[in-house]
Amino acid sequence: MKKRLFWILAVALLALSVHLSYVLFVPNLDMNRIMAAASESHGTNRFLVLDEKEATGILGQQSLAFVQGICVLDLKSGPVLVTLDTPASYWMVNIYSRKGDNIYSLNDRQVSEVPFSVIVERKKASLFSFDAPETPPEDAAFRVSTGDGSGLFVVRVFVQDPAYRKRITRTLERSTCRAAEVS
Amino acid sequence: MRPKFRGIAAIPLFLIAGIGTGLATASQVIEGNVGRFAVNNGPWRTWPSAGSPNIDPYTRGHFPAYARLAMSTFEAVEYIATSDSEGGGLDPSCNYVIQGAIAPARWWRITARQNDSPEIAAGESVLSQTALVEPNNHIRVIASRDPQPGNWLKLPKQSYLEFTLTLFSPASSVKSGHAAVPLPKIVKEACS
Repeated sequence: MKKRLFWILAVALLALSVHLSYVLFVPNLDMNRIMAAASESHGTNRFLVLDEKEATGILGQQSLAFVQGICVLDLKSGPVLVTLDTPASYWMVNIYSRKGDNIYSLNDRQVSEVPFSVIVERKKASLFSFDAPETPPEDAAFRVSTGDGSGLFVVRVFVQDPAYRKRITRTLERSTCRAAEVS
Repeated sequence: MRPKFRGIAAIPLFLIAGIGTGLATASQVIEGNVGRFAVNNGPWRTWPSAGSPNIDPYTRGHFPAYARLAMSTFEAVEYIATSDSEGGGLDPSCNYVIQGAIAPARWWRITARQNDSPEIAAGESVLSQTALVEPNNHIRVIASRDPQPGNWLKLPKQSYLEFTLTLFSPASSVKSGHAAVPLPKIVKEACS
């Protein structure tokens, strides 16, 4: 009886460990795969408009209803400035953390002027800092802080008619993503 | 010797049972079949904490498992149906009528997806901008492999099928009541 109880408890503990490991670590691995796929082919801190095949290969999702642009953010050496040029259409911006969490959202109704800039920066890791505060980096309309050293910036522009796809792509291609200059 | 041998023989069984149970329970909760992390509204299912700062670990696990990035409910609410309104599994060799009121949103999209492929071919989605919508915000979409009059949603040739209804920039009533907002029914019709 004791032996049986021992094995039941051992199986339950192993099952719990596997369950938690799967839930906690697999999403990170999947997000790392997405970011590695994008940065290997196009580098970091570089804006890229994805064609339909790339959208499937990198984001794992393709939609004929959107033109999608991405920038793999490398915040280890400082903040990153994304300047977006978007057409007069419904669009949305999402910034994802290394774990795949959506840490910031923005859409066309919240922005009055195009092009506009978003600065993404890494939060200080230490609780106490005796250093002089850094001079704020380049001026930008929106500022996002994250605890991670990397992330993914995604913009999706709605294509109302397939005939507009090329025009939307050309507009979005004027967007940039680069390391911000800290004065 | 015999009891010792039995103890050694139990180890593979212990590993199979423990790992199998752990993976099976995790996948059931991530799928939304168990637990309260997913919300059902008729045949449609959604993950309310998707893309929010308070995302739970199971919702976080759900989207990457299908190679997708979650959008915040502020931007989009995605409902997925793997069965019709009667509870029967979706069969792409059958015709389905997706009809009824649709929750208020800036625009919406209904898609027929194959689970094993992220690609959505032309015609496999119906957009609010191009769809015929009745004055009371009711829709009627016929999902079929063969062309249909009105709003036709082309079904893929593969054996697996799921419908996705995405409400972009949804009204606040959607964000606060995922289970109660009006969504269309999925009615099975003739099969080929």
